[in-house]
Amino acid sequence: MPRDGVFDESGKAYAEEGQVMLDGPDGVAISMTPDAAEETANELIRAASEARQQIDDRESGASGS
Amino acid sequence: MIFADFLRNRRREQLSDQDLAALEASVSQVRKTHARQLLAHAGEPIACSTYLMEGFICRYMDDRNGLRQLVAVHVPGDFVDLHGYPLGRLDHDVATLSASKIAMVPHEALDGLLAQRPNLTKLLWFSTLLDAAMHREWIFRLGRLDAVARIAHFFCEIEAKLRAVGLSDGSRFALPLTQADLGEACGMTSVHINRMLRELRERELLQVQRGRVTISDLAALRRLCDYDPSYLFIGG
Repeated sequence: MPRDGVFDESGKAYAEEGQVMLDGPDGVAISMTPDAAEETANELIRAASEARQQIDDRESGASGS
Repeated sequence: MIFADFLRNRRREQLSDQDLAALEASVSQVRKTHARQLLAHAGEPIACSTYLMEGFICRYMDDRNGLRQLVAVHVPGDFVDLHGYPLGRLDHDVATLSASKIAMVPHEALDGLLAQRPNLTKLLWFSTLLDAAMHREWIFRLGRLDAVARIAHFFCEIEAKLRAVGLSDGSRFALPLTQADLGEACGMTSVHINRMLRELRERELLQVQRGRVTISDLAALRRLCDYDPSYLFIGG
């Protein structure tokens, strides 16, 4: 279930006729070329790492105050 | 009768014989069109509104790359662009999806109807408000539903609308739309639509073959996409 519009469920990806389809979560339903899908995957992994760091920084800041 | 399906199974009973006769008399022309024919272009002044008697018509917008988003699909009994009467121009294109039969109602004639027939005016207003309700539902569909639910939702809506005018028996109806059309309505590629149609078929919910739709389990299809047809005001 989304919390404040942020989903904790992943979308599902499929390949069909040379296209990569990403379905969900929620209203996401897009098709990409394989190159665009790989770049998007890399971008997501990079952004996820950055977001985790932000959570860690916030929590360490809270515990230090 | 030209307006045999207008508001059928909605508020048709509120349309008096006199109102109906005045509406029929307001038509300047009835004509047949080919499939895929442009009827009105965004931005151009319009002097008539189009009532759909037979066939399917869409409203659409193209992005800067020419990629199309359908913003409405009309079935017989619908006024396609009644909102163009007070607006004076459309903010979208209008084209036929199939061979169609349409009636043209000049805006000058609508001026007379509005001046003389308050009950008919209210029902025409109701008709444009139905369009607005459908637009809200389409926003929900595109913003909140995943791929398979989006297309299920589209079929649920079309089925309900066609059933209201006697063109669906609740499980079977003609729908001469291509997978590209469905993609443009649901914001997906035709390949994506193809896969989702396969999924609906494998779940034994729905099949599309040669322009005919067969819904095997309407209740399950509606559950899949949280479909509630109350926004169509059918039957009340």
